[in-house]
Amino acid sequence: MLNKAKKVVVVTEKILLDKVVALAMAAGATGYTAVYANGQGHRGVRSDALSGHGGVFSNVKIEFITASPEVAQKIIDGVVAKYFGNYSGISYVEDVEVARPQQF
Amino acid sequence: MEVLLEFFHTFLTQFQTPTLAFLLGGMLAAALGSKLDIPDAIYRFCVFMLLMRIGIQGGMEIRGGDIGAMLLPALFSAVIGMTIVVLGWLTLARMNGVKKDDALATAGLFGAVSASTMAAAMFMLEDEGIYFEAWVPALYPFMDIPALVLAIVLANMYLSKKDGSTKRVAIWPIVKESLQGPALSAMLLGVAIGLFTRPEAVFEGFYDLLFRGLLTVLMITMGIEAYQRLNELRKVAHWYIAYAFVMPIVHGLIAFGLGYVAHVLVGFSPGGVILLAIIAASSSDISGPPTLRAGIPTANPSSYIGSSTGIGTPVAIAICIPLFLILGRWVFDL
Repeated sequence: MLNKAKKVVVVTEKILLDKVVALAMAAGATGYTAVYANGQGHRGVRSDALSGHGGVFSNVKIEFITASPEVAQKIIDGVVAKYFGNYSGISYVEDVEVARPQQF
Repeated sequence: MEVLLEFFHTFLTQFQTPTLAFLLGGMLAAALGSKLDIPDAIYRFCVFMLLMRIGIQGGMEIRGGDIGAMLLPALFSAVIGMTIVVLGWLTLARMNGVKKDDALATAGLFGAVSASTMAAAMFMLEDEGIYFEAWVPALYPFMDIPALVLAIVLANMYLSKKDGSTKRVAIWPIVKESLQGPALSAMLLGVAIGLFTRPEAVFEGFYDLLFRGLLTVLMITMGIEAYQRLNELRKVAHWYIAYAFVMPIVHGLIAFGLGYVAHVLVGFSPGGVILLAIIAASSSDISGPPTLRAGIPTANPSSYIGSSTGIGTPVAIAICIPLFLILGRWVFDL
């Protein structure tokens, strides 16, 4: 009934939303969900103008669910290589079980 | 001696203008830990309204005016913007503890223009009854875009040389992104509307009416933001602080000089010269940073945003506006 899949989560700066999504879609993801987030890493660096004030959340948490572990690995490797050198962020993978596996 | 007294007197009077008062008020509130905060949507609305008002007025005046007179100041604006970046490369980038790409990004922001500083300057000139051509604000993109593009190109050239990779920097995407930014788009839209349609009624009844009030709300936001960004400067070399304090004045003087040349050659108005000087002294705090963040990703945002928003903009508004007003009054006998 439920099928195994991988959920790749990327938490990073809001300005990277479009770029990370583009990277993931190119790697084989079929969709994404994004929520605005706030938080701080071990360095506590703020990088946007007007971030973290005026009621604005300056980070974004993007989730990609994919049936293929290779795609998941590609997404993480791509994001780490291309963006995490210059921008703040973390990335992790969770195991999930999904309904309607053909969507992923 | 008299000039010095006049300077202090004008300076003090400027502190009481709503513009500066709200800026300092915002900084003070943030310093005292107040939770006062202007919602992001309101701030963006203010920027939109201000730039529409400026644009519509500019467009309406270009309708009747002489485009030729605009060409030389536009050329000078581009020259000034690029000179500022080069100056930053020759000064800030050579200091100890300053990374070259951070320095170029900072110089790029100082070469670019702050819409809020420009609006504050226009407000001041209108209050003082000093005339300037309404298309002077349209010089904004002529200074802003060349500065940002040059900073990004130079930084990428420097970084390519450092790691041996050759990467041609595509200029058009940078220009396009700047033109698509909310501030410039609003102003260009306003110019088009002022130029091609008849918006007089809505201009007088809405945009012009609300201009002053909205500027004060913008100033509070800038003040709060400036104080919060000051913290970031603690993490970077102290040279940024010196640069951010001194260079707006230097940049303004260069622009004043070139503006004076334009005044002599094509009749650029004294108010226009003063405004050009203040535009040059301003440093982009809202639209510049995202462009630079994308164009020079290796640069540390604390350095350039901290310098520009934390010190550059307050110095431009608090010191450069009165300074160039007095200089203009003195040079042009206003």
